[in-house]
Amino acid sequence: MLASCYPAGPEYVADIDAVLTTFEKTYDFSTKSTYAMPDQIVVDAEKDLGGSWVPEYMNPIFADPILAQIEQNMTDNGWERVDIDEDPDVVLTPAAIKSTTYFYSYWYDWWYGGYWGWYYPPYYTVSSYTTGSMIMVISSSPENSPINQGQAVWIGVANGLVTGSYDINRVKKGIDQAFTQSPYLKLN
Amino acid sequence: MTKKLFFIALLLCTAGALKAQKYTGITYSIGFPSGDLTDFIDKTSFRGINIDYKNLIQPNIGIGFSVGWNVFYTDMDEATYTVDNISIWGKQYRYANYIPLFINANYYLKPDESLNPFVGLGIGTMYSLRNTDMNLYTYKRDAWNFALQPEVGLLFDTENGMALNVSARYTYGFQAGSELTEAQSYFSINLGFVFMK
Repeated sequence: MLASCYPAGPEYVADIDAVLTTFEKTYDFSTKSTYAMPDQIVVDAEKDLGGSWVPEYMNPIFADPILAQIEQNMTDNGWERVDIDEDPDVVLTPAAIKSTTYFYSYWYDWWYGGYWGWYYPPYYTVSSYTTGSMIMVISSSPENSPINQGQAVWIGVANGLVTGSYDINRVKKGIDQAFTQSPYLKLN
Repeated sequence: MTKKLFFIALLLCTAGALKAQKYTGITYSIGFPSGDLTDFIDKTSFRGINIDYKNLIQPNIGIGFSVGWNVFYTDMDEATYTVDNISIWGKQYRYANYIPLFINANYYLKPDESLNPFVGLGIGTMYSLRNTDMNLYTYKRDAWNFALQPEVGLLFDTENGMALNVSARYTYGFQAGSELTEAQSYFSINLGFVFMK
């Protein structure tokens, strides 16, 4: 009876959409201008029989418009997209989480042959992600890192957007919002 | 400590005067935020209930206890909330629950008449619980406040062992704890019945 008279809260799945962004305070984005981004989006990873991580990719029907939206925001903010072998200032890696597992920090290496790698900043943990989260990470160049890994200097998470009832407009809105609330990414 | 005192006093006042008249009441409570609560939720609450018990140690003095529950709620428009270098955008759903537990003393101005105004004071503790929900997460803060509750009201005796009861209360919980550290308060209008025997 008490539950029935308790306030209702969210009524629609869109009501729980949330976008979280965080950045490394000591990193100077304004001196950067180029970025590289893969053309696929990882959704999961499993170990094969040989013990190697095998990524699972999002269907391009969904991945392509998401990647286009990210690129559009980066272009609008004054960034230039270059190839990974053109020595980009930063790398932007998008992923979607199919299940809440700790796979995300590994998949990066598959694309870039281990040359670029990154680690999470200490104030943010993977456990904050829920199933269906769209994650974008900008990582810095590992040039000055003794372990050859750049740090994640920006993380944008659109929680719960990539759900079963897939709605590209909600995902696009989440991506736009992540950039809107991150004015330090604007170079122009 | 406050809770212990409350229950000891509860035993005393229920066991004390077996022959005296007893008032047992239930009221529906409408809550109006005040103070720190206004900044969190500024909407009137239509979800509230009180249960009251009074032992009349004299015809015009009742000692007893009361238990209540008021829940305030609001949803916020989509907005960005920034703390340090973390920004979160989304809709917020805010809940504030108050459960006051009081020992009460009431003074009845006209105990022999059908319209019987009264004033009262409750002293005890209040459990305050505040939740901020975003996405699938909730940010919870709570406190056990030392609390006071002045009250003015009116009983209308229907002369069949029951009176209609309307009252206004101000519930004030003093600063407490380490989470919800601000003092918590609200006004309430309470409508209900008192059974007299």
